[in-house]
Amino acid sequence: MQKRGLFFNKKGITHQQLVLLAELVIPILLLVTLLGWVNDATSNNLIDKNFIARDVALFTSTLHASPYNIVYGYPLITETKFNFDQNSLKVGYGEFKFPASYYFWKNKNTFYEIKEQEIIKENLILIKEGDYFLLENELSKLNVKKCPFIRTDNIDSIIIDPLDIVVGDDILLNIAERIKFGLTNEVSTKELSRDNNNNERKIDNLNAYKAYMGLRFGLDGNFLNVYYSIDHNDYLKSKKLGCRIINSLVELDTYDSTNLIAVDPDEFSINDQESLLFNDIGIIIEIGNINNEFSIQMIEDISTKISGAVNNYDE
Amino acid sequence: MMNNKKAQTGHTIVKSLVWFIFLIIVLFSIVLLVRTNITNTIDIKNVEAEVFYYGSLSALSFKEDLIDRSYNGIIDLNKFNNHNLESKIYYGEENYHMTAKFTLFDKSDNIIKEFIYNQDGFDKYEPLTKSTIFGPGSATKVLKEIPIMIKDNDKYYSGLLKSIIIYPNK
Repeated sequence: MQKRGLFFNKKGITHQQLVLLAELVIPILLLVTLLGWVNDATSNNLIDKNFIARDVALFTSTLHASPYNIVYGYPLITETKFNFDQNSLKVGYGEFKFPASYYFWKNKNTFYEIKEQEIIKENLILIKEGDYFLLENELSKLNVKKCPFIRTDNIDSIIIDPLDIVVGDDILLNIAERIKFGLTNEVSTKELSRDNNNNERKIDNLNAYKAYMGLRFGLDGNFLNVYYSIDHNDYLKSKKLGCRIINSLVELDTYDSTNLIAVDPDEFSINDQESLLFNDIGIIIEIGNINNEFSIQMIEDISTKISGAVNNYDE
Repeated sequence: MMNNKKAQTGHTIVKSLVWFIFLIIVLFSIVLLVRTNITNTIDIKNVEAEVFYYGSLSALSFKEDLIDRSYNGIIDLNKFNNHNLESKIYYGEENYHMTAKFTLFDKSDNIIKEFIYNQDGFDKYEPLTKSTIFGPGSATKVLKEIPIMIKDNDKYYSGLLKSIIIYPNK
């Protein structure tokens, strides 16, 4: 019979100490690990991570459905870590423990610039340029073009197309007033009426204007178009004006916390059914969601910025 | 018995084992309780199927390259194939997420063309949609049917696009 060894030593008290030590260490290790998970779950981090992972994954798939170049800002409340792979992404906080992951689809030829871990503080910027896809921490200056100074002084009306937007007329008028005030005192505001059954739109004095520049506020299914009418003589300049407006929006600091789709005016082509209403449309900028008070504030900021871009350039 | 030192040691080990197993049960009970009382997962499979469907429509639609405009209501017969769709909607080498069958009908209900996206997945998940027990291990089938225009080279005629989208319930 074995008389020596760990559990056969006559000094049984030593063995008891070892067993006690094991009894303490192993449960503590288990407890720390499990309570870490429990804490993660109960502090809502887990649900947050899962939500963001799925939302961004779905959104990434949607971006790939677009044939055009897109820069999109996904607003975040807290500092979040992202890890994009070719067909999946991981989302985590802090030390990136228990990251939530989800998959997405893309074009087969699209290449992702993979980075180890991207720490995003406020806005996850997703950039799709042809077959190239990357994410950034802040808006790059990709959309900033050097525009020559031009004068387009015949903006004399604002047309608001409510489309399927859920906000009431009072909010539409509010927005129109803000934008009107930002442009010039003499501008008149016209609201575009729409017959949903026939999908037709009517604009008062449509023939008076040969060219329009459209600003689209809101997301698909919940947006409103704002068209600035421009005298036909100034149509050729409207692209440059649009370029200036895009630049001013991109440079707007407060804009970092809102959604942004900026369409490069040089690369823009008419692809939108609504846009075809106006043959000579120069540019569409799609901006944010107006379905809350914050966005009203955002539009006020934007309109101020636009008015600066339109009015305060050298002749 | 307890006066024997070997018996004492053996007794300690047995007692510790019981205590240890009990501790494990308690710890995992905590996790189980948290899991059952707190929702940690968000099921977006149905929304995902919608995104996939509309992405597919976009990929199969006629696109006028001259003005870079795609017409989502017009299905281009030349693009209506699995090769085209798998290049536009690519889930990776192994696709365990989504499979679909698209069938084009003319006005007389004759099949004009059909194809299956992710054939392996379809063979695997389609039988699972017939399962009467839902949850992980089964699959969900979403049926879509919309009237469309069919573009066959220079000819246009009206038809119907019937789609079956299947995804596994994970």
